[in-house]
Amino acid sequence: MPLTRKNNKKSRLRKRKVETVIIIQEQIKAEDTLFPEKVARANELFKNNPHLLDGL
Amino acid sequence: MSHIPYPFEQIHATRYRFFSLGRNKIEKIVDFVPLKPKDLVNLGFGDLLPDGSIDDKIASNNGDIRRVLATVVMILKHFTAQRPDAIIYFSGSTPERTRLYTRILKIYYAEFTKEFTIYGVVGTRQDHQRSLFDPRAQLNYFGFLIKRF
Repeated sequence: MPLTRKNNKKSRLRKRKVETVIIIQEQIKAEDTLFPEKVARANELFKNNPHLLDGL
Repeated sequence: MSHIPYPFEQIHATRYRFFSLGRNKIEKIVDFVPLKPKDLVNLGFGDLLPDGSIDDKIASNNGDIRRVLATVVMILKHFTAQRPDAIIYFSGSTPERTRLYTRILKIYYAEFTKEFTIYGVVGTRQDHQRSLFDPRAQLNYFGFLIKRF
């Protein structure tokens, strides 16, 4: 039993590490960019002109 | 590709760096940032400054612009190979820079269109239209959309 418990703990830790990596990749947001002005301009352009993306 | 790209490094999922080795050694950053519409990604490109900020307006005059842009093209290919559904939007930080990108797209058009569809965005500040990029057209583009097919 103690061995199983130990393995379960290891498994949980491994799972948590994997989840952390996934979160880091998915949480890249516009505010993290080194080009905030450019991103703001682009967001404004596509907000005012959503047809630019039609069919893409 | 007519110029050999510099080696580049993917720092993390959406950011790359490489060194321009012209008259001086300049660290360059290429940053892909998701925009609000799904799958739309902004490409930003500039020089890394000593304080950690980026200058995307500077004309480095490092004597290797073609090689630098060949490297950006390779990075674009690398990124879109990882995210084939991404639609990449980019524009110059100044009208002059956008005109430079137009010239580069014209140079690489034949090679680029083997893997990508290129659209140009034209129009006034209020009203913009998208059309297929035409290398023979003399248009002032506002920006560009690129999609891997």
